[in-house]
Formats: sequence, C-alpha cells, structure tokens
Amino acid sequence: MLAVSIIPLTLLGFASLQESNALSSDIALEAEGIGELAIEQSSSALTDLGIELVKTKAEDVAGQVKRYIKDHPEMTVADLQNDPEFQSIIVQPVGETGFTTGMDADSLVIIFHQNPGDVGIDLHSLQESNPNYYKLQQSGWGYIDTSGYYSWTDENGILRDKYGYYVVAEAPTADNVFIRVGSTVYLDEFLAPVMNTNAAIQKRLDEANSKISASTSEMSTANTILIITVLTILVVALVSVLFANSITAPLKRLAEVADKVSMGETDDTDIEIKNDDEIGDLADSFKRMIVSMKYYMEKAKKES
Amino acid sequence: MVEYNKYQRMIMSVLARKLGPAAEDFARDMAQLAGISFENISNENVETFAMHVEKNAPRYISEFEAKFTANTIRKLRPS
Repeated sequence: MLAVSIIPLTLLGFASLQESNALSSDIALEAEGIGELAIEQSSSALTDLGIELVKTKAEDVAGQVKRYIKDHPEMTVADLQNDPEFQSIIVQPVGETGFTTGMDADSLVIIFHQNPGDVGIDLHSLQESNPNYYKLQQSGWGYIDTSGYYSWTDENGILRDKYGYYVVAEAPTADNVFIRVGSTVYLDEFLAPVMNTNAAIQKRLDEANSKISASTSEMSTANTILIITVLTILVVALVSVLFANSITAPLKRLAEVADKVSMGETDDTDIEIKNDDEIGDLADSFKRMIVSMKYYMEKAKKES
Repeated sequence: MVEYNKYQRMIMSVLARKLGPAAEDFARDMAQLAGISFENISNENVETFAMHVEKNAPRYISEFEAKFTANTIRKLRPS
C-alpha cells in the first residue's frame, strides 16, 4: 500500500521537477533572445542615427564652405589654408571621435585636416594599403555625394570601423579647386551606449542563469533523493518478501508432509530443506522421525 | 537401553543421523542379515554390515544418503 501511494507521488514530483527545469531553461533562453534582439535593434537604430548625423554634418560644412568661398572669390587654396576662420569652418568635430576634412575633389589630395601632418597626402597612395577607403573616394568621381564604411587604423594602432560621408562644395576657389568636404567618425562611438546596455543585460542574464543553474541543481538533488527513496522502498519490499518466503516456504512444506504422514501416507515425504538454521534443524529432525515411522510401519506389516 | 562399546556407539550415531529412533533396530536387522551380532561388529567384519546398510537403507532414505552412510561406517576406526 505504501509503495502504491508513494510511487505515483514520486512520479508526479519527478515530472513536475523536470517540467520546472525545462520551463526555467526556456525562460532564460527567451530572455537572452529578447536581449539580443533589443541590442541588435538598438545598434541598428543608433548606427542609422549616427550616419544621419555624419551626413548632416558633411552637408552643413559643405554649405558653409560654399558660402565662404563665394564671399571670398579671390582666395586660393593656399589663402584658405592660411585663413584661421576658414580652417575653423572646414575642420569641425563630428561627434566625439570624428571630424571634417577637405580634399581636392579632382586630385584627391588632402588640403584641410585637423592634423597638419596629413595635409598634402595623396589618397591615391592608399590604393594598396586601404582599398575600401580608396574605392569610396573614387566613387565620388563627378562631384557626386559618396558615403560608406571602411576600416581605419587609429592613433593607438587599432583597426576600427569608420563611416564617412563626402560632399563637394559647389563653389570653386580662385585657383579653380573644388573642395570635397568629408565627415568621418568611428562607428563604435555610436554603439558605445548599446555596448554598455549589452553588458548590463548580459550581466543580468548571467545572474539569472546562475540562479536557474543553482535552482536546477537543487531540483536535481531533490530528484535524486526521491529516486533513492523509491528504490530503497522497492528494495526493502523485495527483500522483505524474499525473507518472508524463505521462512514460510519450508514451513509450508513441513506442514504438508506432516499432514500426509498423519493420514498414514508415507510416500512422497522427502523434505528438501537445506536451510542452515533452526528451520533446517527442524526439517532434519522431522525427516528422521518420518524415516523411523516408515521403518517401524514396514516392520509391523512384515511381522503381522 | 543396551550399553554398547565405543565402536558400536559410533556406528549407531552415524545411522541415527539419518534414521532417527529406528537406528538401533535397523542396525540389529542389518547385523542379522550379515550373519553377525551387532555387539560383535568389528573392523574386520564391518564391510558385510555396511554392504547391507547400503542395500536396504534406500527403502527409507535416498540412495545417495544410504551410500554416504555406508561409506562413513566403513571408514570408522575403533581407537
């Protein structure tokens, strides 16, 4: 009765624990998926916003350059390079890591840059070392706006992704140079908040996973205890039945033989009991008594 | 109760283990069949006695037990 009542309860408990484990794992996976989706969408939105900012900045600076050149038609590139006001117009910060530059739209030679050392660099020289960047510059042939992604090695020697938008100011200098204004920025600048959010989400997910793991481990222990309990009950029940049989089976056989002998029947009275205990001793004694009865009954029949 | 000497008591003990209270009468019957008195059984004539035990005991006990009992009697040595 005990086993009958405990086994269904145990099975029910085991199934519930398994279900609970599966549910916890599913929730953790779902939460992770939601986190990843949120990060992906946030990244995409912020990147779009950053690109728009870069584009707007490029167009804005190009417009300012155009107006300044129109207001100063006598100024050549060299004049403009020596003009601090123009320098402050054409080299402006973009976000926190970016800035605008100016290059000769025809020769692709940098003529305005926040780093004076970069002024004079011919971008054709980057054809081999940075083909993506070169291709981007080439795509602006014909003074059309151009934009795109490329890799750039920063001042620390780390290769980072960058985005650039290039617009040609629609006014030539006195020496007939069209200036292409470029607005560039490192992409990770826009993604920094997302990265921080991602780290926060990941931290919370790790904590949740740790709790689930701990909970799962506790449930596994409970499962193990349940299984061991049921197995113990079954083993004890089995041993009890076998032990009871080992006592009652020989006694039943002795009772059968005693019943036969009491009715005068001495055939088929062999007692095959090999127990090395009191029951075995009792069987041996009983066997000797039956043998004696057989002997004397046979002898009495002969003599009569 | 008849008083037997040690050798006879040893034979009786071996038979009693299998035949119980009938051991004494059975021993006397087997000795009679062997043509000797149970009191006079000795190491020299015990073989005939054992042979009759081996032959007649299976009527009451198994053949294996009868053979085992007879062989045990054959091996008994009066000290």
